[in-house]
Amino acid sequence: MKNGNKHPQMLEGIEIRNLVTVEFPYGLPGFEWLKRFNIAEVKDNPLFSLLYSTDEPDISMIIMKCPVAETSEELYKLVRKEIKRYFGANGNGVDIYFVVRLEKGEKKLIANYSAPIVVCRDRMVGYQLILERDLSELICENSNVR
Amino acid sequence: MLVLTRKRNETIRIGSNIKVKVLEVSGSYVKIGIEAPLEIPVYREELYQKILEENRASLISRELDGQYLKEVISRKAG
Repeated sequence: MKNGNKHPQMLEGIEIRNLVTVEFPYGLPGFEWLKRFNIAEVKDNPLFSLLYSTDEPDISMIIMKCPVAETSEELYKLVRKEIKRYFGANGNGVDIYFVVRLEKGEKKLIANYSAPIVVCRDRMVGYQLILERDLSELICENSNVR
Repeated sequence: MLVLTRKRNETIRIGSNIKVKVLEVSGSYVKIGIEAPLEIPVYREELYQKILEENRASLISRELDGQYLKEVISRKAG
């Protein structure tokens, strides 16, 4: 159901550094009918962004930019095949994000490393990949983010 | 649901450019090969369902404390 809001209510009071609209030709698993999402980058925070549907802004989630995207060749090897499938490229100019789940009671953040969201910056097209292998080992070896 | 019976090495064609071939049958397991255009995603159903559920569980709830959300997305990389 469309509610006509431009931005999710949760964004009120949060300073946004950059806002881009990305086409997701297949939607996202669970939200296949939604093809366009905004990525709102939070001011002074290079790590977390908000991803929300342009048509249904309440369909919103926190995403985390892959902390090793520029440095981990191993990670790119793992996702390159999938990236090539969609973008016909070797991974250059493609941002990788992970969906983060909030566990409010325990105030924990849990990243889903099995399904990275890849966004081609030039074409502003994105896909959520579903990998057979969980990337968490690679990520944890290379960053401070758990 | 369309139900077709196939033997080992026999194929099903879906549309003009997707082929599904029975490679091996062993007990209750069937090994299948899929030829599809690169841009067509092919997943095991249970993996897709798992990610679908994770995505739904990751939605920011309307009931979420706004201050808590601000705290979370104000965190810097460690």
